Amino acid sequence: MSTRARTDVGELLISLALLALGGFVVFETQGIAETQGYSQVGPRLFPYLIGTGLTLCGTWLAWQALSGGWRAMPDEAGTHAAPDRTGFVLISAGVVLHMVLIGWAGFILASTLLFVLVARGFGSTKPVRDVAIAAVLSTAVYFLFTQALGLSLPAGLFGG
Amino acid sequence: METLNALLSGFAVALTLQNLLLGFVGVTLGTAVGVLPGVGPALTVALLLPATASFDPTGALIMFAGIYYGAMFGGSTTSILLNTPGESATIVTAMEGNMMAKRGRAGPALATSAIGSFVAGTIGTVLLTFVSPFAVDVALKFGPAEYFSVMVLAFVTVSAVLGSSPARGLAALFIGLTIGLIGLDSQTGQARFTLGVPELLDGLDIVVVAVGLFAVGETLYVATYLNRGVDTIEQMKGSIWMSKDDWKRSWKPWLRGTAFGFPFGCIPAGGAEIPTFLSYATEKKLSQHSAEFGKGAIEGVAGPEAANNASASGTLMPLLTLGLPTTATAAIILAAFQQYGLQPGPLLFDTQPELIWGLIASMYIGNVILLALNLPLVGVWVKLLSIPRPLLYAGILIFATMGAYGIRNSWFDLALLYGIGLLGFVMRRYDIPVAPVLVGLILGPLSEQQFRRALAISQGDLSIFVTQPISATVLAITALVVIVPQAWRLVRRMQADAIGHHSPI
Amino acid sequence: MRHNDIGAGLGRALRTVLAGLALAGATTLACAADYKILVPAAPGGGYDQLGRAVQAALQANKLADRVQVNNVAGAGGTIGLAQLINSSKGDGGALMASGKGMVSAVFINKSPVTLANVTPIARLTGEYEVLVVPASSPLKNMADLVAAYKANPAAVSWAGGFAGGVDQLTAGMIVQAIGGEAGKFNYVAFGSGGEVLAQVLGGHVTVGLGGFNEFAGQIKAGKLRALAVTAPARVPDIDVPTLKEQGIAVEFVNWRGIMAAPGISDAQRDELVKTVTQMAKSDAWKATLAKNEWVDMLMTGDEFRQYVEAEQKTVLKLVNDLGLVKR
Repeated sequence: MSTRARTDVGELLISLALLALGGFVVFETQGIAETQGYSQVGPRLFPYLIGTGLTLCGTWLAWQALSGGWRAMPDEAGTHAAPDRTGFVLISAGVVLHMVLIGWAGFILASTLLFVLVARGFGSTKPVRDVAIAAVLSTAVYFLFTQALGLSLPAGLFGG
Repeated sequence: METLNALLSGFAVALTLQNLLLGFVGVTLGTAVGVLPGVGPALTVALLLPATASFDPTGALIMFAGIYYGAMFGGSTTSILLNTPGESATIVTAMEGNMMAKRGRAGPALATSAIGSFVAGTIGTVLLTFVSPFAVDVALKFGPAEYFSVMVLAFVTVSAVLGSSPARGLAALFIGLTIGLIGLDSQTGQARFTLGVPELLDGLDIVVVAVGLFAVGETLYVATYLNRGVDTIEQMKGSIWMSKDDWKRSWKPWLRGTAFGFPFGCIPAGGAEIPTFLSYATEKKLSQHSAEFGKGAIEGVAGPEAANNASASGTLMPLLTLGLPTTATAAIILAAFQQYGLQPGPLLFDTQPELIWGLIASMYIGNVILLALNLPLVGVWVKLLSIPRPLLYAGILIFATMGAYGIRNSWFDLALLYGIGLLGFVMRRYDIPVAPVLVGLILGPLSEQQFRRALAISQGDLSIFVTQPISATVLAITALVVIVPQAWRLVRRMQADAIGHHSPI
Repeated sequence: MRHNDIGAGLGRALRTVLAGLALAGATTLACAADYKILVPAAPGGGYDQLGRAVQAALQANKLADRVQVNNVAGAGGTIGLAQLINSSKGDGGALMASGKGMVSAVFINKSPVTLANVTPIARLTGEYEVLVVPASSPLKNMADLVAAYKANPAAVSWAGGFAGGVDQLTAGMIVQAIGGEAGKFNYVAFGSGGEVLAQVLGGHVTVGLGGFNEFAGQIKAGKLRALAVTAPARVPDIDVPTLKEQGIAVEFVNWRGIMAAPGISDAQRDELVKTVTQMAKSDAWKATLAKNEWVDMLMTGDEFRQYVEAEQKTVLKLVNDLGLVKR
């Protein structure tokens, strides 16, 4: 067991978040009307058990975080040293924009944009190639699913 | 003998050009939808239903069955290569299979899953042919009490999927259980943990959670931490085929996986996920290479893959003999029967022998086609890994978002997908395993409902779990699973102590 | 812009190839109208089958030019209902598959919008509920079941679909009719009709409830005994006594039909009623009914509107009596 000098803030935060979630589950459960019927067990029992379990796990992990860090962590300090924040933001933007645009602009345009942003997030430096592939792929997927399977995907700006 | 004759005449039906072709289309389409994350066989068959209303029923049903077991074949591919399960039944495959791929052994992983699927599918079809009536009688003996006991066994054995740290594994399991609480309580119709959002009343879709955790979470993680100039994911090392040692380590898990999967397919509410957990746990216990588990043990791919395919053939047994659908896909195939004015059940074997036996015979052929289709494809799939990373992950996200959106054409599911993706990202960053989340999400609601159903039937009497013979037996097995390894360890330690005391003298 | 042209061209090419593959049904020359049918459930279920059957029948009779089916699943159909009301107001081409299950889901899920907000067009099909026991059960008829219930209400377990669904409503009505307290019967909810079938066949529950078609095969094969059907009078193809014959004054039909968007003009509504009526009287529709073993329950226009209003009242009272709506 390697003991680190400082407590990892991320580990502690996650542990506390689990604790809080457990507390929330137990709290919310009190708002569920208890109707046992003939089984003597109503809709509250399992949420109570699960909320308690979450709280215990959170406590356990918080204790670990404060006493030398979470146990049996793989050695990934090198991997986590320099996160590529731009990549993260670009991909997130891609997914969120896709969500916002799909209804209005349609599946093909939204997916094309998603593809291009994700590729860019992975450091692609060939935007023209990305756009071309994205357009072909999303158009193909669109027609495959709407025409061959009858699934409805929004046509958006291309639709009448 | 009678069965054999019926089966032979079934082959005559299945081998007509039309039915062969439809079977081929079915398994190919099934492989394709199995590979795509978020697009499953249930959705595919449902969408094809109206288009095939004018087809000859035998041909259409051969195609639908092909889509079903073809999807089970194909679902493992993205699990192994991209750590993104194509189907919920291949979550376990993603754990060992993807580790194998990361060590450059994608080829053998894909091969053992394809051959294991073939072995399991074929044995499953043989069982379907010869033991249907008997197995169905046993399946009907399962009431809520029996199911709950099986869930207890499953919970005990899932410790095998918790990963390197029990604290983090359990935390992940409880996160899954919590997600499983969301939605209407089916016994009382009350909303729980929906925060007033109507979209949450049906609970979270397992596909959205799996795709979010794996595909979106993985994409974010790889882009943020692992994307350093290397343009492709994992290059192949060594042969893409299975070595002699791989065969030696695979064949027993194939057979054991089949033994888990088939019975689970037969029982209503059994599903394909639980037997894959059980198979994984068993292989981990029995393997001589148990240290390799978590780092890419081939047994951990071979067993669960056989289990999920065997369960697919098992599912058809109650469907054909009783008209009893045990999975979502089976329910839709049942709708397909009804579309042609056919009612599956005991009478169908008498009134439509050609159709039934043609369908069963087509499954033998379909499994061979699938093997012939998938083994050469191993080489092609492995090449997927040489697609430049930006394009590969961008493509995955297009399919992932489409699958989530297609459920009900709502942006809400896309928001959910991203939210769960963020959760997956954080979990990955802090080495919290994601598989237990899905285990909790699958087992939690099932066990709660069965527990309460059992107690409703027994009017609150807890002894129902030990007075029913099957339930009691399952619980006894569970106790053995817990106690025996501990007792064994104790005996070994006492022996070691004894030797330790003796040796200095 | 260039890639869009390429995309569109490719789309055209793909469309041609796929149209052949897709067997999408003949496109007609007669230009009638465009319709969108919202199916408030996932592909494969009862609403979906109805919506797609209507789509096919409208097209087969050249009553519509283009009919699009759109699945918006969730919360017993109330998500789809809300979407129709919020986004299609005044749209004469927007239809929705609906039915009795949605009436009760609206109350149970405390949906802010109800069927009072939409424009009823036609009831099309219906299914009667049936009560079944395993062949080995000592219960031979409703009188036996009533006696068993009166002897010990808790010991009689009624298996059916999810809480507040049509099966529980049926059971609740029967319990009320035989003098029991509606909230006091041992109802066990299962996930699907298939699970109910298995539990009844295995003898794990006393009695099972479900749509007649779900159990028809097993009843014919003699593995299940049907105690009663909820039809008002004997149904030709169903050889099962009704509840009324056995002295229990309960009728129940799980109907399905078509609703239109709110805020459409009377002219638009009359046009839709006319079109759907024409469709429902066509041979193509009759063939669909026969193939799916659906019971024809055509009711249109004002009569249907009043029917839906009455249904809402009875179902609301029932879910309250059953204690399904809390606070």
